[in-house]
Amino acid sequence: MNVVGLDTVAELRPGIDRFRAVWKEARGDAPLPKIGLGRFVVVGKSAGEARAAARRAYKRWYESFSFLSSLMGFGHRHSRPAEFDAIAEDGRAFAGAPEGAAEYVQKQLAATGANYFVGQFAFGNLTQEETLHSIGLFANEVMTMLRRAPARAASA
Amino acid sequence: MEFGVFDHLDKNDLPLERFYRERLEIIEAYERAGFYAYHVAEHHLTPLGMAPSPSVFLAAVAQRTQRLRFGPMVYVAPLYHPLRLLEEIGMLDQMSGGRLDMAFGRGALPAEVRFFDVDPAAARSGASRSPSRRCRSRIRRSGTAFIRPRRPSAPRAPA
Repeated sequence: MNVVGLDTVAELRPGIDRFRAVWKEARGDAPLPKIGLGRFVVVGKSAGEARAAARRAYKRWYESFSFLSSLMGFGHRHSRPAEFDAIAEDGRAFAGAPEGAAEYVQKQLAATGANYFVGQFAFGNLTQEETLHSIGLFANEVMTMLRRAPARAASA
Repeated sequence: MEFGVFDHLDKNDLPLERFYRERLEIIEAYERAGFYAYHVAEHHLTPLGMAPSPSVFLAAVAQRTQRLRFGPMVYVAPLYHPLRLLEEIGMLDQMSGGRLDMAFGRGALPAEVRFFDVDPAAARSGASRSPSRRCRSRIRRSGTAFIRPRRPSAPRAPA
């Protein structure tokens, strides 16, 4: 059974630790299922280019995210801040150049104990061209760097 | 290490026909880039999720890709009759050559569950859409006969 979480490191870590412990008890050394970590990601040639696109697109995404809650007056169980800089600050989003993206993914996986990184690359009003550019950089540069990097203990 | 994609399929400012067309092109790019799987959200009556019927969108994904795994994240189980969901899953599984990754949940927002006249509290307990005994019996009887016919059909003469 694979799982994917979208919450912060502090919210996810206890559940993932428990999942790993129960798996160990029940299945011993059998390979773990995918323990996924979902994060907003925009990769650009420069950090400035990626940040500008992410700030603009996230604002549009947030309008959609808060549409029903604003209309009907309720709060979200899994809330998100209104601005990209705030969600990047709490670790649930990244915008930047490929080197920074690789470091971010590696740190997030190690901090949560997840072993499967799930990017949200298309959101808000990112254009198709911006999205394809970001995916291309992620695949060609970030994924390559991460596959070459030594595995961290938590991501085994 | 493997990498996946999560997509709310949230609405942007494009006409919807172009929005869906471009997103499917992006999903083709995920496959070319070597991603392991594409996971799409299910939401209702909100611009946050333009795949209120994930199976419909994923049927298109199945036809546009060859290797990429895909699935809902998640099917909001209380909103489906179990037989309907079973049939959709079976179709997607066959249409994709076994690339569907199933996932189920109660629904992130109680308000969306209420749109369907389903009580979120009942949904949490799993009681809202449990198939009746009669339904289970019909599924067993008809489904078994359908999938494993007792007698092979007689060969037809060429037209």
